[in-house]
Amino acid sequence: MTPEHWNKVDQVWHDVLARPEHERAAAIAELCAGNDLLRRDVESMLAHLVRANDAGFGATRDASAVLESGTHLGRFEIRASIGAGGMGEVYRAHDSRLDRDVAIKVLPPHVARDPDRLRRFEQEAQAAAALNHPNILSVHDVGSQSLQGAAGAGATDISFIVTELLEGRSLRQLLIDEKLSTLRAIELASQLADGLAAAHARNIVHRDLKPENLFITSDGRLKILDFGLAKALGSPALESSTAPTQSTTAPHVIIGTPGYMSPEQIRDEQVDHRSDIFAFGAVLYEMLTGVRAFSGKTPLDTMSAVLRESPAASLRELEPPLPVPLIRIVERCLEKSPLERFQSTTDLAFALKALTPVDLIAPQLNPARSPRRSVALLSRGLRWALPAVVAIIILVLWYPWGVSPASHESIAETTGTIATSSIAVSSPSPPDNRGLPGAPSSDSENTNLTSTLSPPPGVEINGGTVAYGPAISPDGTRVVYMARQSEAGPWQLWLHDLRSDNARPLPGTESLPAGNSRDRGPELPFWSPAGDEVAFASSHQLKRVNIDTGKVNTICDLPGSNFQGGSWGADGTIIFSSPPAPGGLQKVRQEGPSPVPLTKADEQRGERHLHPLFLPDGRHFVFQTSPERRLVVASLENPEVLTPIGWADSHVAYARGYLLYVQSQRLMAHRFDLKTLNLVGAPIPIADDVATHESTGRSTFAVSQNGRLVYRQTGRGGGGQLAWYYRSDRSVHPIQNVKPDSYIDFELLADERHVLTHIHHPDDTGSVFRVGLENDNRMQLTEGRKNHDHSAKLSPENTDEFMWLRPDENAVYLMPSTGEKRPKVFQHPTNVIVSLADWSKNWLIETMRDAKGQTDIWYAPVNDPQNPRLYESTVAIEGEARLSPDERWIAYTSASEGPDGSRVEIRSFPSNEGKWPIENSGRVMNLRFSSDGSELFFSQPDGQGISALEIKPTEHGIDFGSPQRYPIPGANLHDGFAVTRDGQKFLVLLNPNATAPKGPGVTYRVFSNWLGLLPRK
Amino acid sequence: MSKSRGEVTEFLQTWTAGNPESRERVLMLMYSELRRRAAAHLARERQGQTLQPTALVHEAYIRLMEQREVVWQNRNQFLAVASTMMRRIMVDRARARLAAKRSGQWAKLSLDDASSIATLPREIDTLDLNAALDRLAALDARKSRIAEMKFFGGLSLEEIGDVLQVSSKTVDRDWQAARALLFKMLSPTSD
Repeated sequence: MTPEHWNKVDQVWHDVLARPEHERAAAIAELCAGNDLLRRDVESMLAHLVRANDAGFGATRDASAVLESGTHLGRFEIRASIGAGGMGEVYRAHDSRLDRDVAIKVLPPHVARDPDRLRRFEQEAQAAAALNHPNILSVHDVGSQSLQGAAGAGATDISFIVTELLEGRSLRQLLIDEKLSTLRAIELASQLADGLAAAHARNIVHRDLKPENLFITSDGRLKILDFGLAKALGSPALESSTAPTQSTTAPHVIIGTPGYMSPEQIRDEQVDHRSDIFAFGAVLYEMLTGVRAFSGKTPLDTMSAVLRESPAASLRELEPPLPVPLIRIVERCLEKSPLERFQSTTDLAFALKALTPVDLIAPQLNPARSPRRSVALLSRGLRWALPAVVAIIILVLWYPWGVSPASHESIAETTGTIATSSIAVSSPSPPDNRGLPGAPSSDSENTNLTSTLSPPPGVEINGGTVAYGPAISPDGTRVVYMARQSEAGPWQLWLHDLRSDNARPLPGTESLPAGNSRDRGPELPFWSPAGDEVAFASSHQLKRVNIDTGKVNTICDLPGSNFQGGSWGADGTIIFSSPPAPGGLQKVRQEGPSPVPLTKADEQRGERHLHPLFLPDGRHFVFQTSPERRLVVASLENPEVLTPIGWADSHVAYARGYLLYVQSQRLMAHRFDLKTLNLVGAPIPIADDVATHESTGRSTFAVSQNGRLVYRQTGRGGGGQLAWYYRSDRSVHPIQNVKPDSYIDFELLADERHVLTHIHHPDDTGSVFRVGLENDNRMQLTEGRKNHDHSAKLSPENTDEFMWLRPDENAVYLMPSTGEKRPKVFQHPTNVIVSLADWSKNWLIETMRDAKGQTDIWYAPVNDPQNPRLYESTVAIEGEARLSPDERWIAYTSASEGPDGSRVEIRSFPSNEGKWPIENSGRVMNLRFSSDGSELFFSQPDGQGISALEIKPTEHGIDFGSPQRYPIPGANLHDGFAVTRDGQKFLVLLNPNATAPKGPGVTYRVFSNWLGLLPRK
Repeated sequence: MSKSRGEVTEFLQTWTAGNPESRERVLMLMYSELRRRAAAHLARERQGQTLQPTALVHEAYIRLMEQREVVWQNRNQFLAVASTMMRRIMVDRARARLAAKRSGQWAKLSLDDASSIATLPREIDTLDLNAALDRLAALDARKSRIAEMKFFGGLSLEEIGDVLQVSSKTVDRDWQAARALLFKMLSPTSD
């Protein structure tokens, strides 16, 4: 701008400002006639002035607007200015009537002058004044008064709000001054959640939670300031630069602070208490890390970060590690969709309080680490100011675990043994059981014997993806599992007597004739307290079988289709879980006939109560919630009172003073106090090879009251062996050059001498590797991380490039196999990407779960991956879907709950015109088209065979016959397979024990006394 | 007020004349006012501002003492100079913090809290404001000076008019222009 031009602009400016507001537009037009540049510049200045006014930039605070000490506002006498709070000048004042000091906040003049805004302010302030909670700033009074201005400036109307006077500093200041310990952060967050919950209970939403609005008093109490004021005082965005200030009810007001505002606030959508929960998450994140959850150079950048980024993932990488349950809390608060967040602040507060000091060192309870390292971590835990008493308890529990050679050996024994005979005694080290509650009564009083339980020859235990038991009788003598006598036979319950090692089927427990794909068999058996009957779910009914008489009775019809376990109380009450509707637990008399609701789940957000277990008193019970996986205690008398006590990734069992459950893929024993109904101390890992179904959380362990433990081993123990299967002669050839490992999913490279696979490491991390099949050369291609994904997909040409999903970022990345990092190709703001299912020439196929919890198949052009489209509302399980090589067909596994059950379906793609179900294909985990598209291969539901289906495109669709079946005994095809280009060889994974002669299929591991696995006292 | 105003002016003049006692008297008289202004000023600040009003005034006082060549005329001129001092202190502090934290986010000067319009800057960095004032000074020194006195000294339009010897109406329009221009410079979309 030249000085000449500026002089003109300035001159016009002065002239225009001399006019009343409504004449200014006309004045500009007149004064700038013929000079567009001049007009534009003046208009731009005027527009910015309006915005500056609106932002309160500089204009409002003359020193004369500051109240002098001694000024009276009603009964309040101003004593001193104490700075600014969230919404205006704050003074210390004295309340002459109640003779106490208070804080008075005077509203900015532009608010006080606007009657509409003032009215809303008063309404909101009065609502906030009704909130009486120790974590909310108490509002005493709201008032306004006309003050005689200084220097004869005339009367000024001021409005003010009177609150309690606090000593301390804002959370913002605290964060600047100090790095908060994790404990302190959790403690402050709990107070914040309590305060919020109280407000939300009265339907008061804060809308502008941030560290500036949170105050920490000198005695450590957190106070939420300015409830409801954000809404009342927010300034309206102006439609046009010259419009006068609009009424505050204008809908275009975005209220909040970038970086703490929820996505829906930014998008100017409906805002409710869940926006506060989002802001809570951002504040908690900042307290834990000292860094803002979302930030950017400009407010716009920051808001864009709120819409796109998932900062909580980075919490998993902090050192020292944060407790996983805590990270989950932050993640759930920061979900982009309000539906995915905690639905109530009460839940959130519960979740925070369920974090025990134990959780704070739980991430360090990792047996892979050396004792010395553990001690170092513990001492760091101490420096976090763990209360001394708690620290000592943990130390007592921890110390023997870390250093006791005996306990170490017994654990090592349990994970390394592969038994080939039916019963193998492998670890007779005599542990000391003195001091443990309840004397063992079985034959194995003082020893822990490890053995393998195998079904009789020719009998196959169901090894499907859903873990179907086993169930052990209360006295530990008998085990019930689901098995069949031959591939042609029906699934039945089998009773296996551990004393004689004999097993027999229980007739009448089969649900459907053999071979029917809907036959899910008798599911999830559980014993009666007396040990003479077993209850189970079958064909949508709950039944019971007397193991002595063989009599089978129906107890009741199941209300939902997805039975998730039950428990039989001493007084004949049975409680069970039968989602999806109802989501809560049910109860029924053992005689039936009608179940009634017991607990109430928040079904609107998809909450379910799973795997109930009666505690010994037969009145209280424990269950697991989904999706949080919280452990909750309730009682038959007060089923509405749900007390969270911790977290578990599986069902729970109780025996001899301990709750047993799976957490982070390890079976834990956690001392449980039956009097207080609380977990005590730290969970103690007792086994790390327990097969657990990841999504239902149903695990395969069972315990008897006298210490016997039975479970199905995962394939992780010794690692699976890669093998080639030749279709021509149906022979299996283990690839001896490649060492066994926990491989998951296989993609053959074009040379067919390398495979892209995912390897799961013992420390519970996993990453994608390229493995040379001839020489076992391994190249790690992705960093090892927990919560990893294994659906890496090679480029359509099977060249070095691959894409993979990072669930922690909910993003798909592209990487060449050479390991050089490439940018992410796809991220979804709201849906959870379950898997990257396929990468073909032109399409990316993903399965994603939406806010309602439904998993669908989506597809996007490879050159526009950011905009996936929904491919119908097909329901896919395990994220499996594949495109045919010509991209005309898509094959996937449907998991509908309908009469057809799970099966493979083929549809035309992308037009979605026809559907060709493959009958009796069952629940299929892995699908592959042959490279020429003439065959579809899929794993058999038991994971021990591959079906090959010849498909022929016809004029109207496709034609196919019956699948050809290739049984591969001992294989674990649940973890994937690959097919060579010629379609004649399968790359498969053999179970660790499959190399033993005549692999017995699924077997169970039995410990005669799991208490022997606990560290010595 | 008028009495103390007169007194301040009188003492300022004797201070310039070399009377150390006057210096003390001036400061005693001005202290509460400076402090009040500083409080009003600090009210606009939030995060990162650890400077207490008393400390700010004290530091301004020390720097004012060093102004040997200034010929003190009256109270308003004194306040105008104090504004410049305040600005320098604030900027120095902000720079020190910036160096210490290697991050600009600790040196924010917040705008009035009622501002919530998403597309507008909510927090103004002290250093950014300082730079914008310099840019404005290159275009229009008087407007920049007015803005400095408003932002850092909290002077009223009348007081500024007195210092600059122009009418308060002119000061007002200049001030409105300064606000518009500064705000534009500080907006994220500004070039």
